[in-house]
Amino acid sequence: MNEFNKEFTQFSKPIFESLKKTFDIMVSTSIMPNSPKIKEGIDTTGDITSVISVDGEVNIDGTKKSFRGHISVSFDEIVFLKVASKMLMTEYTEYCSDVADAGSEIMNIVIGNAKQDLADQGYKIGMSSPLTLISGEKHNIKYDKETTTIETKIDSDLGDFVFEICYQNVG
Amino acid sequence: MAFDPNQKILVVDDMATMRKIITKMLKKKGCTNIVEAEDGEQAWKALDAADAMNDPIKFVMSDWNMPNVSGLSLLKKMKADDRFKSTPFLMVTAEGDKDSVLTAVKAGINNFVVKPFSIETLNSKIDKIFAA
Repeated sequence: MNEFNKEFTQFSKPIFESLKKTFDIMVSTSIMPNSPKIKEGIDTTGDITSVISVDGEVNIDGTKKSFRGHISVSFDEIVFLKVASKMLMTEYTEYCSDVADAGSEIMNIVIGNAKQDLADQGYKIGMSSPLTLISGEKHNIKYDKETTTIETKIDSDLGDFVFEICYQNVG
Repeated sequence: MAFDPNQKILVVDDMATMRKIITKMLKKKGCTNIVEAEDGEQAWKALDAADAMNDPIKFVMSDWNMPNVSGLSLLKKMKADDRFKSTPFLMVTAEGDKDSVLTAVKAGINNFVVKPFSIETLNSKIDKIFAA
């Protein structure tokens, strides 16, 4: 495993653990991540995507580097509504303003919860992380060219969705 | 001081989803008088207005990280005002690291709950505040 892959794995592990915990507690649903793969292209697979930026500084073995990243979750509308309904303890059958930020709140909790474990490994992320919500069929996310993005299909009783982690050292 | 489910409760969070989740959890606890605010600025207006109408807010649950006025700034402002300095304050945060918790404790929170949390955890935190 090269140094970048090692860093990517270190960076991803607490985030996946936090995603599992968030779904367990806030959505009362167990999730099962499939094998991650390097994403080709920029299209997302879902109708509703929430993206959170995770910029910061990493200190590994006394060497400080800046890093830039994004984490996103992308749902088909039907799965999104099931997830939002479970979270909000209210049945929703149509996408509306009541549920619009459910995916963003999941991302917010996931990264907030992972911060301490990431900090223990030398990754310091700022307090405020901008959130972006994208909806509509066949939308895409244009990450920086130099970034590597890992996409993971997640299985759950509510349906499948896709989780992406994008990471880049910036010097 | 026992928890009174009929007392006026203020829920502050910039994310509508989280406000709805907390409101739903409070309703399951029997709470009937819940006011919502999107940030610390709106929350202050709600506190002020309720006090002016002689129907004060008796318990505040606020997110920490919000635009405009944060939960911590709201707490500090309340502690500096005789009208609100005794109002119980539960901080809701996505970050449970020691430094953050210590900062909030020093500022005067009565308790805190780290996201993600279950209804049982929230109930327990509220009960501890009102049992103290």
